[in-house]
Amino acid sequence: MGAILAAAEAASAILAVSMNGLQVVQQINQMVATAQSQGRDLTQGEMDAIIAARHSAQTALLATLAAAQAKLDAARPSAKSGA
Amino acid sequence: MRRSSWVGAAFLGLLLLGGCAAAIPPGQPVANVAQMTPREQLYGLEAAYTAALTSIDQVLKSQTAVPAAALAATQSAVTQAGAALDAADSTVAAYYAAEATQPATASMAPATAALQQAQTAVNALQQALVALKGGQ
Repeated sequence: MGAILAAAEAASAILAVSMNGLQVVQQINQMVATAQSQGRDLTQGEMDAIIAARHSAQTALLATLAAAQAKLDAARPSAKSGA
Repeated sequence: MRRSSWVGAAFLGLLLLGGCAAAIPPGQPVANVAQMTPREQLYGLEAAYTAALTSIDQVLKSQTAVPAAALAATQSAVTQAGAALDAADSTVAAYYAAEATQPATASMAPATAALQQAQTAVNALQQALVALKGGQ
């Protein structure tokens, strides 16, 4: 995790890590457009930043999924009756 | 980089910006993969995966109750696709590192295989998203 954060910080001028997945997608496209305008492929540092952003979005969604699961569990009859 | 590669990448970007992964039918190629470099394929998959996560998040937050089976399937697909992308990330990075230091012996085959596996996992995630939306 530390390595991921370090990679993201190194590329923070290009991509601010966001928990908003759509923003991440837009930033990936912006990064690609910038590289395209410079006639080059993405660098490994830029790829690392994309990967870090994806991990952030993944972590956020897994938390949302866990919350939905907890809501389901709480709504079960056995949970309501305390059985 | 070849111009055709960038055309494919730009096309992919337009698709993703247009409405996330939900706009891309599961299993359908989003660009001409054969013309793309491993890194281009990888960031395309990263973007498709992240877009799918966003759509899933929106569905979950808009629903008061989600079918347990759909929730479990989605959770599994998210985790598996994430793991497949992690594997592709490291394999593609290893390919570029080998190409930089030992271009005569660097093989793209492992990266290609890992990218194909990641593509399959992202497709499965998009199908899980469709199933989740079906429960709305």
